[in-house]
Amino acid sequence: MRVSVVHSSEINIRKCYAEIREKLDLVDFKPNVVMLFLTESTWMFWKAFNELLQKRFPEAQMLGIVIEGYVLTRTIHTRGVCILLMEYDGDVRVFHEKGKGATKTAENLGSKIGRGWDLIVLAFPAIYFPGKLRLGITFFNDRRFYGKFQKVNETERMKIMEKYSEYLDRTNSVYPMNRTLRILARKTGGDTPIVGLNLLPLQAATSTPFILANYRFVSPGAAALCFKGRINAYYSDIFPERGKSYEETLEIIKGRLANVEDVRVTKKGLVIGEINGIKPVDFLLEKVKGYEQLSEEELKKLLDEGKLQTFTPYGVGFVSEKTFGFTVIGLYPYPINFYPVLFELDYFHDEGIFCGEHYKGGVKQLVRTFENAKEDSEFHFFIIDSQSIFSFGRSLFQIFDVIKLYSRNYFGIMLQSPPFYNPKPSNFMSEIEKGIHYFAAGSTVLIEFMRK
Amino acid sequence: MSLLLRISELLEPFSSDPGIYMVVLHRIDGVPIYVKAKRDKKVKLTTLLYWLEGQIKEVLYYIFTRNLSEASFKFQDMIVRMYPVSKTLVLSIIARDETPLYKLDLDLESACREINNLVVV
Repeated sequence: MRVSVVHSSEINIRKCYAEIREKLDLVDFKPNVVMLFLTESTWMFWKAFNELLQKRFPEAQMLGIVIEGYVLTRTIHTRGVCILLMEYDGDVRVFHEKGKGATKTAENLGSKIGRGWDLIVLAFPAIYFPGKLRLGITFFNDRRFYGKFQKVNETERMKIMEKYSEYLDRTNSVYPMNRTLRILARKTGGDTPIVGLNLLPLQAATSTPFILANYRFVSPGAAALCFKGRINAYYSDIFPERGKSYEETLEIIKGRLANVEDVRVTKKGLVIGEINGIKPVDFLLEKVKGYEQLSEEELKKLLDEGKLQTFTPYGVGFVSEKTFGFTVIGLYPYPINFYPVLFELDYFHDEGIFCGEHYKGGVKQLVRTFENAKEDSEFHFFIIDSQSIFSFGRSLFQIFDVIKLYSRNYFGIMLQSPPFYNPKPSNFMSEIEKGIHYFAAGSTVLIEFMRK
Repeated sequence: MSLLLRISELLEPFSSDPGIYMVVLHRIDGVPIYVKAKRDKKVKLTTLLYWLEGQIKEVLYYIFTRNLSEASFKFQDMIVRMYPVSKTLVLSIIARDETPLYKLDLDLESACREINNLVVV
């Protein structure tokens, strides 16, 4: 297998494009896999890079996404463009499906992929930020549904939250990661690991995140890069193993997170209706002094400028009824009533905890998944949580102290904490359904390409 | 390719950033060996550059004797950040105070490491 990483950290788009074109001229093999990673400074010029790559490598299987940064040998960059070119020894193919509602998209994509693959890399938007018109309709529906929600009894409330969740699904607004992975795993036979490239920019813009699949724009939608051959995938989170009961897991997790408080959550489907009997955002404002709720106009303006913050140190955590695993959804004072969640909530206990972010074990814990690396591996591709940029700042460079012990040939990207489906049993804290792992911060996935 | 040309290639992307007014690589005695500044009448960069020269020796002293990993100064609407590159070089940037530095910090650290690899044998 041959691998080449072509990059430019230039933010002047003309210089960046010229540098990439020049470096592509030096590539001396014909890749069958092209992965295009655009950053905050270049994503709006995706068409130029897409065309350039299509002209150079028209027959390659191509996947393109927007990332927060990329990790090269001993350096980390958050600007410019990076392209991973691979001449993969086994079979490889990209499948895609566009905009038929989140559940329908996952089902159709799963059917297209079929069985028999050894690894699936699945790119999908955690939340899709639509244009102004669609956003206005969503705000209107949020107010309309919540108005009804406040006037009815418990049973009716559940039905309203379910309906609103269906609306979010139908409009491709939320691709819940547990449901998306569950559907894909079922459709592809259940024995293939699935790595989720769960797209949620740290600073969101209108009509983002987007996905390119085989040089086609497929947003809002999903795409899968499927490999058959000698390839492995490993996952790690930053927590100790989960407990064997609800109480045990809570006890472990309470010792790890900051500012923990027990809360009761009214939830269904993809939305939280209330926390301790009040609107989720009101609850957050009550707990965190200094936060102010954004107005709809402010939110739209921030989206237009590509500066809508999606990261937050505060969240509500839930214990899974299925596995006693634990996961968290971040809370931010958006101008909304129902709070949309990145995973389906029906598999979690109603009692949750309000908590602040806290890492233990430092930066090195973040890349402990490299400990799984095998000696006969040829190349490592990894995904680390982009929130680690805030948590660690320049200390993030300490990851190289760990990586160098296990790999000589590697490349990484920084994205929203990646979800993972593993058909083999594990005891990770973030295993929220059988085989399905997700935590809002600190997860890492390592993909290992083995020698032939 | 000359060393200075390679260094300027590594630092060039930072001067394209709309939030950054000036990028300077200083020698141990404070003398700048690379300067790239934006033409902005509102910002008196020359005065600031002169002031920075005076700070370098002090900063280097703390970097090498007290393990100072970076120094930051905030003026009215500007931020000055200084990063050690090697035992004889310090990189400084002057940026608009509202420029988000969380990502920029990683890119600057990468540039410092790359320059360090070039100058340290």
